[in-house]
Amino acid sequence: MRTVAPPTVQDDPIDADQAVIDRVIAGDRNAFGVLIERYSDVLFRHAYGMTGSADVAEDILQVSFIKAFHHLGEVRGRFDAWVFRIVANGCKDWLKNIRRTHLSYEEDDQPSGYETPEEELDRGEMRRDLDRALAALPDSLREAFVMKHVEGRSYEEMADLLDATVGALKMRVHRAREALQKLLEDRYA
Amino acid sequence: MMSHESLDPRDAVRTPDAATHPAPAAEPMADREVPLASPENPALWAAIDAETARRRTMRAPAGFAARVLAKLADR
Repeated sequence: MRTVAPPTVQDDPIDADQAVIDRVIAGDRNAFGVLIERYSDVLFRHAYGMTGSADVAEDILQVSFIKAFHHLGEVRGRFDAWVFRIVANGCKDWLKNIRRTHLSYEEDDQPSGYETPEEELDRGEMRRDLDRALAALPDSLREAFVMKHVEGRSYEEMADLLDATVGALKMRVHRAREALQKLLEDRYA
Repeated sequence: MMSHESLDPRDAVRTPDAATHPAPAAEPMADREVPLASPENPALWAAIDAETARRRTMRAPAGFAARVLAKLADR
């Protein structure tokens, strides 16, 4: 008869993160790379969605992970939610500062993934249009839209991370979609 | 003019008439979107969906973790 191995500490992602945190705090600095690798992609998508710039997104992530490293002992509960809040606040601070000076969006250098140059051209236009339209939204609506439609998170997960209700977040996404449609519909009629 | 408001304390716990006070709509399914007030523009949302799908595959720049660890080592 086959026996099923009992779950180990590492089966639970929260415990797995905590095990890594314990190693880092004990002096294994390189173990922090495990946490960076685990969460940098989803956090990069968030920062890119909020700022519209791959370079700015990388800078925000870098500063956030360095801050996280120096405050690792303060993590209570989920590391991913804790580091998300650091990145989300970094994005909001950047937006506040950039609005005081100027707004500049640049091309991202991620692989396009499109089949033909024509498709690339059409989609490149949408990329810029969507960046501009997202930049025109209030931060809270942009954040909700990006988390739902770019990061692919559930409303429950968003509510957990943003400390808001599911109903309020649905309304933010709804208002973001209405605003995007208004801003972009003339170009895509 | 006399008020028609009931002073009977039992009225305070009576349920409202279902015909005049319909129950609030059930909470929509957790992940269902609230429909847009104006008609959706299918061409626009197809373009937005394609772009958001592309962004869902974006990854942090190559070597990012190593760069952060190097910065930490410098300090």
